[in-house]
Amino acid sequence: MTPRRPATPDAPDHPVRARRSDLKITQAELATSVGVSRQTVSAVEGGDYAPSVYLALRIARALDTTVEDLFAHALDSGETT
Amino acid sequence: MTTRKPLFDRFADSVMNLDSPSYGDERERAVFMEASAFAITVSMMITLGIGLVAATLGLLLLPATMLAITFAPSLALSVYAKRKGVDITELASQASKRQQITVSVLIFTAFALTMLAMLWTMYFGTGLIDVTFPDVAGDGSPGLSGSVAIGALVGGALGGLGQFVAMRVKRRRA
Repeated sequence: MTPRRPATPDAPDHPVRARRSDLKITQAELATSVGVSRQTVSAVEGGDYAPSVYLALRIARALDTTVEDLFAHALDSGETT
Repeated sequence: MTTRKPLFDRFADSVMNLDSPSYGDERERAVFMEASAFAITVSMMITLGIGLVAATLGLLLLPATMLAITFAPSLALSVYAKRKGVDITELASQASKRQQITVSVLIFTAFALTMLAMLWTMYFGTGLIDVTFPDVAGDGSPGLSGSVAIGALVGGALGGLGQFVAMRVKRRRA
């Protein structure tokens, strides 16, 4: 099943979105560099989809950071359940 | 030395073609698989429904076929998962009692009602609902079954054409 969590309007920016914004990269550009669709990047940033280890590594590499920095918060918030 | 995969695995590989880029990325693949599971569930419900309605109308071959068809996806699902080391019955036992009872009752009821309706037809020679199919086409026509076959062919051809056009349009827009 596709991992999901309910959207919360006052939730802080997902670290992927925040990091991408810092680097001034569009969703489409990030999607192309990691080899997924723009909708998938949007789903990751929206917390609707928890990526596999391999995709998480590719995203972290594309954003020049670590998987822990981008996805460790999900463990605390229970995003992947 | 190379070992050849068993026939079932080769058949499943060729049918599923899991390495095909048409599945998209990992999220799209996951959604596609969820959609496939939903579609199979719906089609099994429709199949059971058609079987039940056909049985009440006094038909025998059609409901029997529908019941048999219902088993095919279940069997394929169970065998495929088992070969990949996943026990479907074990997973099903982890569902809530309420869900297990609901699903069991629904399936058992549909099967039981269909079988009862078929037994009624066999015993009394007519369906629970006695329907006489009108011969609307007249003499020289292919008859009801022929008309159904022609309708299915024309419908299938039109559906295939529509799918082809939709894919062309989508590819052009991409």
